[in-house]
Amino acid sequence: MDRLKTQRRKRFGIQALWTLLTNANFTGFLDGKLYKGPLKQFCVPGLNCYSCPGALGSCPIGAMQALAGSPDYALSLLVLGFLMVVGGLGGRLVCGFLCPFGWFQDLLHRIPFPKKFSTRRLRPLTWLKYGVLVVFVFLLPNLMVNVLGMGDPTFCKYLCPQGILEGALPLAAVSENTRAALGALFQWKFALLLAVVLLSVMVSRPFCKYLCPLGAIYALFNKFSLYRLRFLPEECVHCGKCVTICPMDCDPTRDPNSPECIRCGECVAVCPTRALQKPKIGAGLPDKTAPYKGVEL
Amino acid sequence: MKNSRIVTAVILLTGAGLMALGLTRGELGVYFVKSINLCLECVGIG
Repeated sequence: MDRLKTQRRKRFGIQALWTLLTNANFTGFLDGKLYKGPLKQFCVPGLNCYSCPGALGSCPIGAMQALAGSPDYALSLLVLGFLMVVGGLGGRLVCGFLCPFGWFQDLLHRIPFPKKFSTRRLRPLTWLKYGVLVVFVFLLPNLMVNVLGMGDPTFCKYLCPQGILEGALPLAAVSENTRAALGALFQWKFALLLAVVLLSVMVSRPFCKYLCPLGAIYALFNKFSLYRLRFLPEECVHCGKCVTICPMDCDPTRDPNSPECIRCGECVAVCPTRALQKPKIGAGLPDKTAPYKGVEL
Repeated sequence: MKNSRIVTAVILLTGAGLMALGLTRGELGVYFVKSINLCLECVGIG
């Protein structure tokens, strides 16, 4: 239990610090002005709306759609490459540690509620996020274009609740003009945000499981990333604690690097026999101490 | 184990290569302009 508490505290700390660092344009929350400096050239790895007045970096999904919707590009190689590098390094580790919206859902799930629901039976619905990725992030911005050949960022426009949480609400709080301009689209997206908020109290990470296109991209790399969980079947006593604790309905004993795993590390923390392990730094590299083993120095 | 490490290396190198290609195509300027101006669609106005 202590190891679990330690792991949760460590993850919470990293999530909080990262959210703070990547949204550190604090004056933006007071004057309603976006940061326009050079850091905005860089994408942050998680879902963080670039219309957040505090945001210092760009959202990779927003950037992807900005290029897809432009008349000169169908696909952003720069953002795709960035996502491949990040995914190749950690897979969905970003989801577990570096995504502000993931952290937001984790915080909501901590709120006491009479009944917390398991979503194990809804596992097939996790395929929905791949559909959202293909249709809303790639296809629609390219296909539904105006006379100038420009397409809308359809995921950001119709589905992303982060734009409302980080963008619309802080801006509307300080700007009367923004409040006056909000209409039916805002109402739809606010309803979506509300649904995610309510669901997150009862269910763990509903947006990450079923709708997030960024999670869908990183999920593709989970089995091949540099950071992978290790499972030692000979040490496993089949107690089921890892399955019970997993917020993403994974069974680490069957698939320790499932595409749904956000690498939160809680299964590793609760495993009584350490059959589940985080990767060791240098694993797979030659043992440089080998010549000295058994030699007294 | 060795095969998966090769796949990881290919993914990382391909990613880095795509980033370099994207930079030479001038993609950075396109989304930078988008990111420093208010995205009306993102906040539910546009």
